[in-house]
Amino acid sequence: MTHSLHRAGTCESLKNDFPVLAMVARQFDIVNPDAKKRTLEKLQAIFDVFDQHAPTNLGSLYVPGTRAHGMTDAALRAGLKPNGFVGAVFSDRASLRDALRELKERDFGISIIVSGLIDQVFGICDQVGLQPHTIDLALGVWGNQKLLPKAELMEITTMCGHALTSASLVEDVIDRVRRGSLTPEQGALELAKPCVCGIFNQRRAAELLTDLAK
Amino acid sequence: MRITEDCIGCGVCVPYCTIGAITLEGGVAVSDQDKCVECAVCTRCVVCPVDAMIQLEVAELPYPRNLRRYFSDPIAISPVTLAGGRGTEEGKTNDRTGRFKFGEVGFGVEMGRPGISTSFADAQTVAQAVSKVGAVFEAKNPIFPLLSDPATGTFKPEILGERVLSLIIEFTVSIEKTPDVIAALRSVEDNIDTVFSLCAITRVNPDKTIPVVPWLERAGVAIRPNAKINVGLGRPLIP
Repeated sequence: MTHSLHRAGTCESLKNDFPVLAMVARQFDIVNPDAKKRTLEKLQAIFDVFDQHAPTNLGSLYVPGTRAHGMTDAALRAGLKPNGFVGAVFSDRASLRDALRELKERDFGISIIVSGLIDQVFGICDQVGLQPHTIDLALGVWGNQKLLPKAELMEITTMCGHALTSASLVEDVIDRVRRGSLTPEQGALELAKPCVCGIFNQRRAAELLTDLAK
Repeated sequence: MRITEDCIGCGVCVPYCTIGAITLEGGVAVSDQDKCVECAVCTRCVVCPVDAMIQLEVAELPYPRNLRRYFSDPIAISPVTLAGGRGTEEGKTNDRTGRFKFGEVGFGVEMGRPGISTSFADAQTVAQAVSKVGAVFEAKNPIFPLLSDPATGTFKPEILGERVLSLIIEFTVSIEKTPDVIAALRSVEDNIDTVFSLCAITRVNPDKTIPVVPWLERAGVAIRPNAKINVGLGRPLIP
């Protein structure tokens, strides 16, 4: 899964957009019932850490819904499974820094992956005392570029890393915002609907919609 | 996804389709079955006022059409990885698994992304190109059992016409082969009727430099300013 990697946009647009995953290693974490039990407890605890540091969105692939869908945190937490992950997106550096600091202190041992501007994420790692271990670099879109929608639409569509939010839906929502039938915030939640794992940043989407609807 | 004769042509489902397979024709919505990738976004997000959309699950769809479902809907469980999604843990758990070592680069060629979709025929064009420069395909990726010849990147012939929202060609090479991989990808990018999003996974040096960056820069590849970073909190930690 590279779903939290290929977010499109300028540095200005991406500067407050940090998807974070807590990911189990299947070869260790779900090998027997005891391991599954411990892993689930860790994922629940990590969920709580994320939740305490004001994420914009929160979810998990195996829970049928995310915070952006209106799911309660209790329902999301109860739906976690040991073979999955916890997904969140933070919209400011301080919240991400504080969440990482707590995760470091509590030392759950589950892999944590942060997406965002490289300089910013490395800077936050420095503040928390973390050494980045592995990096997945985005090298752009190749092939028949004529097939792609407009760049400004892709800034929103690529926030669903599984490409479930279509460019046509973005255009439809922009039109509804222009006509006044949706606010940008309501439009952002509509665009978050297709995303199933909690890393769509509806706050960034609302900001982009506000500009696009002008 | 199929639309029944109960459709009243309200069109509410049309913009939700990930790849534009739903159109209004003759006053009703029609789903182009060649284009439809069975992602289930329409049935999950749209409240059809007359309940006219039918989405079959992986087990209900015949092979090879069922490939569309589990590559296009991240909730659908792959029989290979026993997980949702199109890829593997790749670099996300590398601090614990050690899958990518210093001196290696993992490439992920995500065919069809963002939001265009791909045929397996186009995926084969790319897979065959990189296999010629020594790519060893990741056996845990859900495309691996669909290869009739993993050594050459050749897929089973009966699946070549199937379309999926995206799939990931994952492979690892020594860092010195980075220019060869880039050249191979450049040689075929104009021969496919889709796009792909490319990524490269490497360890981060203790001084926080990234070993593959000079290789990519020499090959003329533009590196995006945003990345996905494993911050080293896994335990026990692979040093």
